[in-house]
Amino acid sequence: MPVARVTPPLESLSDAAVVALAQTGAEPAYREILTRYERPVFSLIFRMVRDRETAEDLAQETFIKVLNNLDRYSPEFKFSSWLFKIANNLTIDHLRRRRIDTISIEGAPDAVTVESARATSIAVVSQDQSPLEELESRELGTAIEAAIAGLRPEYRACILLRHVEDRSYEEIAEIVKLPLGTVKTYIHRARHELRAALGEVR
Amino acid sequence: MTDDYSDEEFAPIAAAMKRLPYFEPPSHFADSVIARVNIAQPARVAVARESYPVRHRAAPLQHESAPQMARTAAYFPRSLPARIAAVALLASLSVTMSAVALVAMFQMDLFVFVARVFGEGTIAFLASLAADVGSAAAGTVAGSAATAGTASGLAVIGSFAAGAIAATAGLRAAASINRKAA
Repeated sequence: MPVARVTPPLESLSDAAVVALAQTGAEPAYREILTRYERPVFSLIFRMVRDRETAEDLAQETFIKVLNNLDRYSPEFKFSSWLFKIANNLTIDHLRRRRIDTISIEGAPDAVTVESARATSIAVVSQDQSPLEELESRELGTAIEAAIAGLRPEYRACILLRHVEDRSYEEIAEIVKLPLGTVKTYIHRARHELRAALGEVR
Repeated sequence: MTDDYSDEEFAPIAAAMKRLPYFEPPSHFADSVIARVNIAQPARVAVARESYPVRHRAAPLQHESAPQMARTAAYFPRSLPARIAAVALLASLSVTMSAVALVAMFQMDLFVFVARVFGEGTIAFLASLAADVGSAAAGTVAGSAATAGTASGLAVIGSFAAGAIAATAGLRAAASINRKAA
């Protein structure tokens, strides 16, 4: 009698194990990678470019590049770092091509109508809070988004990876392909600028 | 990591940044990506799907074994009469071969055995029948009889005869079934 093979659910596997499975051609593993990282990657890119359509295109491009090159992934590196590195590279390249250094919280720079500005403006959604807390949180969140949008793209990427994605300095240095000292400097300056921009709000 | 929060002025901002929500990509995002990804070779996919059948759970086993079933079915006749005839022929051959094997194994004299069972008259009848069988068939059978011995030769003749009778009976039965069905 054949012995039933017990396989753990994909959600319980580590990134490395899911990637190893995807390398054998298992479509569910590809979908699991997407489920785990589509929101973080899309959010990072959206906060960088502040245009939903562009963010969607860049996030798609990121995943297609990553998933089509899984055989080149080396398990000694953290998979998410590799993924964010590709997302960051594509986003920075896009911003350089478009020469968008800073963006406005009120809408994308190329928004010419009220509707398009509203469609590209950032709405910060709060979780499980009283109406007053929600209002305060929304205000602070919106103010933070606005302040982040005003940073240089390099600062923006570093500060988002540090404080939203909770990455270590070493990981950030690997993701943005910059020396560790430069990353620390960028984060320090970004924090300084954020503090200054948010001084009145807080 | 502690240096981030040593800055008292920045600590509330850092905490607020941690609480910033993720933005949702469109609902079709994953499908759009998957549609443009080259998923690895089908053979490897089959192995992996067996391990993690997340999609297309309806009938993975049937799907996987269909080619095997098709290959096996190719060896069997499709119509019922042909199947009955084939089974009859195989059955008679297997019985004969088993008998030949037993005779060879125990070095029994088949003539003695048959004579004891059916009597001397039967032996004489079989011998004359063998002599009367057509030269082509008899030649072939005689060749094997000459090498394997008289007993084995008779066994082979018997198997062909039994096979032919069984096949005829099978075909007639099948024909009558078809007539009834029509």
